[in-house]
Amino acid sequence: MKNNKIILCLILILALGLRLGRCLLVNRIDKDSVIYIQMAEDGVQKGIKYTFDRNSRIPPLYVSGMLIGEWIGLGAENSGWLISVVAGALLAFAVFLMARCVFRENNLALIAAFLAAIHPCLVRISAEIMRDSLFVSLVAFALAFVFMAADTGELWKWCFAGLFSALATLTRNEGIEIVFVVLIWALVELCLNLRTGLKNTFKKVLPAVLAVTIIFSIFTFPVQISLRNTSSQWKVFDFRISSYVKGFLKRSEKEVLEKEDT
Amino acid sequence: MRALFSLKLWLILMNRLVEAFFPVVCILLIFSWFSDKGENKAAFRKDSHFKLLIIVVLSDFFIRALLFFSGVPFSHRYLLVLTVMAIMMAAPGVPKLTELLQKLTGRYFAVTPRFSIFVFSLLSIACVGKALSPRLDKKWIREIPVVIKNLCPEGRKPVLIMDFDDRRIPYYAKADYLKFGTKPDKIFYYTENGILQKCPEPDGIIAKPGEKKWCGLFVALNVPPAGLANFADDIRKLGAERVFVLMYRKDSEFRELFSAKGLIFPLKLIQEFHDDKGRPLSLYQGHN
Repeated sequence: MKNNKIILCLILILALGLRLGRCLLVNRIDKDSVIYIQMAEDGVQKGIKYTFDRNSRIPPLYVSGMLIGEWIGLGAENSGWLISVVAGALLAFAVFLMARCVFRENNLALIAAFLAAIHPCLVRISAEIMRDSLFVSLVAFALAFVFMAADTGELWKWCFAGLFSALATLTRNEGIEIVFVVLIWALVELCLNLRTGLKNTFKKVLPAVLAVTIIFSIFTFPVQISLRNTSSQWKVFDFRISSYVKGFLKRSEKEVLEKEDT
Repeated sequence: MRALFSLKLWLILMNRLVEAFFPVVCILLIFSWFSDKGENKAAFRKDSHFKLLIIVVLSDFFIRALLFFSGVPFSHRYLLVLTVMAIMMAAPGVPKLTELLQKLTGRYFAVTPRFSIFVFSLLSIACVGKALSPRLDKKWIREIPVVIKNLCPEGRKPVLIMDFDDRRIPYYAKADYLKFGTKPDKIFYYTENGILQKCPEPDGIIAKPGEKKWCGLFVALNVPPAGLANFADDIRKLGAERVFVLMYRKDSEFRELFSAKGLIFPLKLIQEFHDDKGRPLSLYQGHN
């Protein structure tokens, strides 16, 4: 047990080291990173009300983190790096928690954490001033708590799953997917136990669904409401999904390939 | 939904998945499939986590496929959650791979219990080599701002007018960014009544990035918007020598725009750069 903790710590140090190393090799930021940096700087120089003038649809968490970093003197760009690197390193821990639930074995969980620590795509996104590293870490933690909670049924784990999915949604709107995963899981459990043990299954899934949705709502909708005083037009539900569904139903192979080429 | 039945698109999507997962993880997934390490397969499938795992993977895949087939510009970033799930499921493949390599090499070398360290080292080399390979492309994105900062008069903030939208260059040059309109750009302007209208002719119009509900649009600096005929005047008003213009085209092509309308070319060519595909970028500076 003690050995496992030491190995996990070493994996996290490896993850952090690789991500810091990648940062040293990157000689330029991404196009979107410029907008995030400028938004954070605007928030400090002109006032929080003006933070979302340059991009009104972006979820607020990542830019807010950079704004705080700019405000305390760290600089928006450095804060962006820091958030991405730390979130990316912690992803290995989230993968460990998830894998330990799924495989019920520490060795495989450590191997999964190791793979997450060294995976090239995950290392690269951790060295970018983009929302992806933070988002994927928050989703991984949300899923880890979902797996743990499905195992033991403990309410506090469902609450943490709701919290992390809320934070993921505040980073990228796709984070809401976790709530739907829990809802689908609840429906599947009910359907599979329709004839036998429906009452018990209902007692198991109802608290889970309520905990996740209530905690998710507590940490997202008040943020949406409070952002009304700024130029932000961010909403918890991204209604652009309707245009994606329309595109899915209407577009031909040629049209999709043309978009791919551009 | 016609795109859904395209084999070509499915192959492209599978290719994107393999790129996102990385070949090492794909190989480990195959080994993992043949592994029963840590959990009996049948028992694993009966486990409640297996249902949850399938729900997570299928629902995320469904959403990504919906985005892909709807024609949205599809980046590898959309596949990160699936990548994390693949990494987790690839973990049992490592002991299976170790077992296979031990069987193969046992004939030639003495196998020690530390053989697994050798396998982890192999995996690390394959992955870390790719993770830490430096980006040597697009050097011009850092070179051009250095030239701008060196040439801008001291104590003045440069203004950079570009015919393409890459804000990293003005960011690194610590310059204000303006757009040079060319077809088929959509440039907007405010009418006298304050209504936002689209310019019928965007060529030569200098525009600034829109803010608030107009973010994502470019709004003309002048009302009414004036094209190339006013360009020299605009350069002077913006500050002449602190104004830099970067065109993603040859110098001769840019000068041709002015000579075709009988206008004097108001800028001084500083340098021609080239991108990684050899396409020219011409940098100019305004003058009094």
